[in-house]
Amino acid sequence: MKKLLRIKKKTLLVVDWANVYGWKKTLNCEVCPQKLYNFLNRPKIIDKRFYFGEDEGQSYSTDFIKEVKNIGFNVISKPVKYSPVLIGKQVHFRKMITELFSFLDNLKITTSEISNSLYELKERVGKLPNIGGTALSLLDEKSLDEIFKLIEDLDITLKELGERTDILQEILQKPVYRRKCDFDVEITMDALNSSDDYETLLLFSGDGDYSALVKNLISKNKKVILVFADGHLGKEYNEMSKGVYFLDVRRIMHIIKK
Amino acid sequence: MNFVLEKIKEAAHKRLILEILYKEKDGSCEGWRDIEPYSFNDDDKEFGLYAWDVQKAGIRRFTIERIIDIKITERHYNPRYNIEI
Repeated sequence: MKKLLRIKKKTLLVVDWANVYGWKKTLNCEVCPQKLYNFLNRPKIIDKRFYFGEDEGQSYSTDFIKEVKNIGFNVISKPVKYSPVLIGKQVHFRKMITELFSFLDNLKITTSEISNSLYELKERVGKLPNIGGTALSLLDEKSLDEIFKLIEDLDITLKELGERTDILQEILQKPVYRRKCDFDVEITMDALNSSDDYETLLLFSGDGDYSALVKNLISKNKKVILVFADGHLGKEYNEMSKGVYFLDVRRIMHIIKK
Repeated sequence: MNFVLEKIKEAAHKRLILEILYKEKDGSCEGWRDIEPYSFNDDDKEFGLYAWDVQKAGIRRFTIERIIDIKITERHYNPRYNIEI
């Protein structure tokens, strides 16, 4: 079991839980903090740091922190922030949202036009029996009622579509609250400040934001073991090979999964 | 050295506390120390042992060559870490 991840020298373990938790969609399973601890409870690991954002007042969050502390991890937490984000103001989405609004406005105009045409159609059909003639003799009272009912149903459907479009536009204009609790600055500072105490950094996160830290440690002749999940490894690591060992978490998942 | 290594392996296998006489870098010796052996450090120039120092309540790295004497006690220890020996 230990051969899957050999710890040869004094090592600092850093778990960026937000990243690790995010792997579950790709892995179709979750990392178990207790099993992770058991697997990495090695004498050469000088500190097992577990970074986790706390949703204050939420029992699931405070309970989880207690649980992880009880397991034995050195938990570093801070409150999660919820930042309002207007989708239409986001650079990446601005063009798309503008086009979407334009489409929805046109949709409302079109439904309004169809509704007007239906009203006109209803008026015309209503006048037909008064005109008299051979064509009318084919339409009995029942068929005429069915045509009116169909027109009314279509009109109701169009009104609902218009109302839903309004609601959608309102929603798109309201801010959404994005959960935010990045630890990259704290982890980088902690890892650099304590770099005299260890030879290897064992980092559970493939986030490319840590590439500067990894490069810095390698320049100090440290080793880095980077545990990542497929699809969650920053492209910043593409050119990096010396001093860093990349471990696909799937290789140890049978040991640490929940 | 082989004698020391054999004692360490045996103690780790049986989960028994070791007593060692250890020479510090400055040549001093604190007397007999109780240790729980966990892992060898085979990657450095000096072959070492990671062990829990019972009196100092902490993990320590001992250079094998500086272990002057070693005894296996009859006291068992409950491992705090995975034993890698």
